[in-house]
Amino acid sequence: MFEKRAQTPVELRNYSTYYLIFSGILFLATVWSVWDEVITRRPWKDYQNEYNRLLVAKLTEKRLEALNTIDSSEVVRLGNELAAARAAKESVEYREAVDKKDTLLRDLDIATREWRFARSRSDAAYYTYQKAIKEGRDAAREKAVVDKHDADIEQYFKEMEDLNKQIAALDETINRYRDEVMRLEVEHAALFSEVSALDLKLERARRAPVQIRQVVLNDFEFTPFQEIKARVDRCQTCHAGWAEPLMEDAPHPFAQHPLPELLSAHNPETFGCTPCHRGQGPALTVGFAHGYEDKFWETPLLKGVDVYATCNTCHSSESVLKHATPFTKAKQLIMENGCYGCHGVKGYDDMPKIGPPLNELLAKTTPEWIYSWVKEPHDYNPNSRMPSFEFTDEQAEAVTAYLVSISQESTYRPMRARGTYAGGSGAAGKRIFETVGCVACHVVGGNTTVRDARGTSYDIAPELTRLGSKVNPDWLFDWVKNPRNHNPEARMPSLRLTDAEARHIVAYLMSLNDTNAPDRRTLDLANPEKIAQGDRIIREYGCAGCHTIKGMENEGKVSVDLSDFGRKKVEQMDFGNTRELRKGSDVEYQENPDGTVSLLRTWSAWVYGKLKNSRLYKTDRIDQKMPVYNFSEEEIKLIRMFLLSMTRDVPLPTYQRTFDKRQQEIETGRRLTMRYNCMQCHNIEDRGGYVVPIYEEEAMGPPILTASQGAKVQEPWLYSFMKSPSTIRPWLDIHMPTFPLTDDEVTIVTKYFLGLSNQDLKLRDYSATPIDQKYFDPGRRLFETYQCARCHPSGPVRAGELTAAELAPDLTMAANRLKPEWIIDWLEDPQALQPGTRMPTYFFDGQGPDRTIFDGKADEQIQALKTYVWSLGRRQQTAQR
Amino acid sequence: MTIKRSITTGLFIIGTTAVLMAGDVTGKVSFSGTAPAAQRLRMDADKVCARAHKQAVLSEEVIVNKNGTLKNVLVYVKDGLAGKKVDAPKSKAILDQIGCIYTPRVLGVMVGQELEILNSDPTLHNVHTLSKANKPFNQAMPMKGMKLTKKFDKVETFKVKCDVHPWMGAYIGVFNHSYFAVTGDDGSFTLKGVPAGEYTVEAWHEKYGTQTMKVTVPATGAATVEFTFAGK
Amino acid sequence: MEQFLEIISKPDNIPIVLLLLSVIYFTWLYGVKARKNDSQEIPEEAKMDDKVQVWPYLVRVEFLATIAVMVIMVVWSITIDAPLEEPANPALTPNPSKAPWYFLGLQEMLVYFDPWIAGVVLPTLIIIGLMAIPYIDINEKGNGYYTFKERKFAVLTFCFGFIILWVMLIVLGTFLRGPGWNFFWPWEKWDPHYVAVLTNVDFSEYFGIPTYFPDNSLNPVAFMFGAVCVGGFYSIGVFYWLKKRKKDFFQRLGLLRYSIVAFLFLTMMGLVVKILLRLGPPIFGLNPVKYVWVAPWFNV
Repeated sequence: MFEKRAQTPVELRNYSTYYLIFSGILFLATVWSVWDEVITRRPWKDYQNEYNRLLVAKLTEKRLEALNTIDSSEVVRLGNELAAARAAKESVEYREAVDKKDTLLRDLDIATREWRFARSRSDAAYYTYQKAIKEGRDAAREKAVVDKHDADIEQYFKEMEDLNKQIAALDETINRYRDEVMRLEVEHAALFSEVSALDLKLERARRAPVQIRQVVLNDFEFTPFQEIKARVDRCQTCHAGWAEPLMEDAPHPFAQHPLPELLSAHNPETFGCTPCHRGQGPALTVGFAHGYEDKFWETPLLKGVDVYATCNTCHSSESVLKHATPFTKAKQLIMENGCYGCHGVKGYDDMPKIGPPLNELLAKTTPEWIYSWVKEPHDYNPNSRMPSFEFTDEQAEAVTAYLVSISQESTYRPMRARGTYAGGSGAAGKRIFETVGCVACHVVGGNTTVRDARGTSYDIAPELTRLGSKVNPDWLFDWVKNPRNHNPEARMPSLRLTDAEARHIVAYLMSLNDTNAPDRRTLDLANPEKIAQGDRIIREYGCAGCHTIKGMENEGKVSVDLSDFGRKKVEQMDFGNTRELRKGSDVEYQENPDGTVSLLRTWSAWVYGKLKNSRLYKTDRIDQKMPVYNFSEEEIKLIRMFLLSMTRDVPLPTYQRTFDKRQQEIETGRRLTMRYNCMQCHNIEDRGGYVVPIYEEEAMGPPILTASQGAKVQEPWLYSFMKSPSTIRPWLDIHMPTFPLTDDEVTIVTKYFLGLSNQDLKLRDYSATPIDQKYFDPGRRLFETYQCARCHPSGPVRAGELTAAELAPDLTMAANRLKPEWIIDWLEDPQALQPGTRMPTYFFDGQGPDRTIFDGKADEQIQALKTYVWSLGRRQQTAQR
Repeated sequence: MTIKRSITTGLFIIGTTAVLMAGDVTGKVSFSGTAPAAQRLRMDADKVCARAHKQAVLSEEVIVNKNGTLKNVLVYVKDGLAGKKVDAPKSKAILDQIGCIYTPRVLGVMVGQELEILNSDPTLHNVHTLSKANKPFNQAMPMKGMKLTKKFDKVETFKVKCDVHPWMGAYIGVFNHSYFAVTGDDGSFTLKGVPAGEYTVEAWHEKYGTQTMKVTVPATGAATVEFTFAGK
Repeated sequence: MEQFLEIISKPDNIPIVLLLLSVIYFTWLYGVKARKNDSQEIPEEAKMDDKVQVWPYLVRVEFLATIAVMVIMVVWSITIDAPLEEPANPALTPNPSKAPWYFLGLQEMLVYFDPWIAGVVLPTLIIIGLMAIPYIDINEKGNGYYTFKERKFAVLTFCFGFIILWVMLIVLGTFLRGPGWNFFWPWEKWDPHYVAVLTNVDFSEYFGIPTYFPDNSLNPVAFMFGAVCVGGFYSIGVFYWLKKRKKDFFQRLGLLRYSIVAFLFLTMMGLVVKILLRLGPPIFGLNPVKYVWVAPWFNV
């Protein structure tokens, strides 16, 4: 064919077929491009149509439900009455009245016009009359005209009034009929009000336009070149039901947001979605919007617990967030495991070291124990926070040699003479140990209730199951009596034990012996070379990050700074000798039967592997120094989430949580309470109280410290209580121990409680609060009527009256302990201040049960009760004086 | 508008007919094994309570009737009512505190139904609900003859207790329908006017937990269902 | 190999693949036509004396081609999206960091020369050399028709310079240079942790002359040695002139034109020599050559 064509002269060749074919193809390509643009690339339209259909279905169902719940007899009754009322308007009386009113209105119109004209005539006549007077003429004639017109005015006015009266009389009749119809119509509509509201919503859902819904944040963040960058989120185009409670159980992407209360502080209509969830905001197809299909999108949608990582971009300065428990837990993990000891972690660099000082170890234990501990702490104590460095025997020996050498320079002396510890009873010690509060922090034997309640893989204080084979009883006695004698910065409080009690406890703890003794080898500890080697190892492995060690006071952090770790590229991570899992594998981490590990080559798999086994990526050439932790699966994921949050790209300051003075005080307080493990006993900010589950009755455990604690107690009382706790609830076995807090620390705690209650520290003399005599007597009467004393004893508790847990604090303490305003708030609604309290509410709807005093007015009665309660302690004080 | 109204009225007629095509579910709750001996309640702490009773007061936790049935079992339709709704009953449910005992010990109410709590004792009681889904309340009733009216808006079964008198306890079941009953002295129950259909019926006892049964209510006539709880 | 296929099929590399195919096709086309012409007295092109008007006989075919190109562009734009990558971030640059594909030959040269030579001198010489061609080419044959026999030197030099050096270097830079600008064979995976041997030494060190003194100052002997080596390389041109200057062709060419041609040609071959000095020695167990001539201002 082409041969033949080649022979045809150029002028005679015909191209029309080619033109037709090529143009046809071009036309098809154009149609394709339009189709691609309008349909293929806009899948969100289908989502929106589907959502609208779903919404209409749900609303229709709801409407039907609403219809069903309407009382049918009521509808019928109202319908009948309405029909009757409408029919009544056909009656002769009504129709005559209406007709008559029409006639009268016409008459009124005429009369009104005549009256107006008469007035006008009168004005004109009056002018002529006055003119005549001014001109000095006789004005009698003009005066007569004026008078005549004035008489007309009078007459028409009367006529009008008369007509108006008649009309008003008729209106009464007419309105009687009309009002009845109107009333019934309103009542009928009220029956259907829910239905009509749904009708309106239905109409809106049916007419909802299919369109892109976007949120633009003009000044959200900086580009890597430090220019302000806007953020555009179109997520709501497909996730249309995020705010619709009807969509609570709808399928994705139409479901309602699972945390509506969180959205009240982060409104997606102004704040967008990607600041929290990440993903590619402007994209409108699933793969690209979520960011997984676009491998160059650096911040794909966060899945699972990782979504809490973004909280840290704005809330980095807070360690507790109300609606983000995983975030709070992750920060707790970071602080309790002292990650900041070796790594730079922004915001946590000035935290105290988590481990005990190691300068006087010989006072406490033996070199053999130190050696076995250094070698593998989890052998002795599987739940210890101390990680395993996997030292060789030689390395462990060297570290022990160094620690023993510095310990020999110690100047520590126990308070009592050596040997004082002897003579206690183990059984008595066990009883004291289990009741006085030791178990709140220390696990012994199989009693792991507190550990389980805490839910961490590590203990916050050492497990004492094998203490007898570790410590020296002289030291233990001294330590139990007052931990700060040995270590001025000890976190363990004093339980104010008597010498006898301390002896019992020592006897009990020393009886807890290790059955499998550590491998005893002869240690070469005096060798200066060994000591020098130990010095090197301790520096290299960063022991001083957690422990105070003599000679290492100025050591820096041994490992990398984590401030931008969340952005680290997978190419920058070394996977060592681990095997590679193929892309798209279901698991990211897999332990193979031959002992090797396979990992996906992703950031999160790398971090998982690292936290699972810090030495995982060790190779012949590359040594890994990070010690091995025993984190649980959940903890690994939480820490990983925290690491994911460590990026330098943060939003502009306007979006950051304002860290005002109060916030700062609260955060300082949190860290202090964390340091002293207050949460082992007390529930503060909805976390903690881990010791409570050991009690059958919650009321037998330490009290919850709710947000209103600061508003509850007087600052001077809190000061003296923190310095030297007094008994408030004598029926409790567990004691508030004495934390030797400094004045500054007490102030921090006080400000923390005050901050949580939105109060400031003020100078106040509570004893100057006057007692209003007007309220005193009614208060006493109410106190009796309301039988307050049934639960609140004043004076010593009579045994056998009620079980101890039912008792409430002695009210004679109130005047010195409680803030008067708080007593009022408390009496108004105890449940609001402390959910689940046994204190019942007496006042409802502004009324008290007893209507004879102050007419039952709640606020007056509360004042009276407060006055009386306040006076109880005052009288006692006076009596004492 | 008129058309809409006639449709509405039509729907009512249909709805009413549907309810009319219904039957009763009856049955009884048997008890096997040995019942634990009822403990004597010690009311010495409050003389008012002690004085209210001439004889020793026994715990009502497990009451086995003479005919070998179990009292105070809450029986209700658990599943199968989707799309079938009933009006809230107009009458109030009543929970009385008399002689420092809750009467009745177990009762069911509907969502939105008024529950009247009475104090017939001249002593302080507090009504403390341990509910989870409904907002718990704890209200004092220090005077005789006090009344308290409450409504619940979530389906749930929970305990009510008095912190002043630790032996006092009652259980309230909240339902979004009216097909529930509590077994009495003969251990029988009747769920009235259950629309035809297939249901899961559950029996709940404060100590012995729950049991479920499938039951089919025919278009005409009734259905029976028997439960047996075993003592431990 | 899987990764190599993935790289080849990346949207941004489509033009390079097309370029490669078209280079092969047009070289083949040239070969066929030149062979035919060289085997007969009169070239094919000279036989065609029949002429037609541009309008409409050429324009209508061009218009047809326009439509075809438009179809290709439309389909291309629908099926393949713009190959965007992550937002630029000065703190996190991509690895490998590559120039636009048409500059990858230059980037490849940076491996062998210092930036001043590879980035400034050589590109300038390439442009000047291309501009100079009409003035230094005195062979009037081969105009308007395909031939090889009559222009062997011109054709071979161009083919070597363009196809071997320019196109191959682009292909090398695009497809075979991975993270860290390390060389990977097509069947190897681009491994960001690849560790290369770094043992380059200066040429003078083969002869025991260190380039720098221990105080880091340049050794004048090494400098002189390098200058002699480079000078020696260029002196090939002089010797060749001395040998051939009597020939008729060289007489017509003249010394000036010859000097330019020889300089440009030797410079081009210098690149080859440098590549060989880098790649060759390891075969014989020697260290690769880093620079031949180290001067305070440039390194060759």
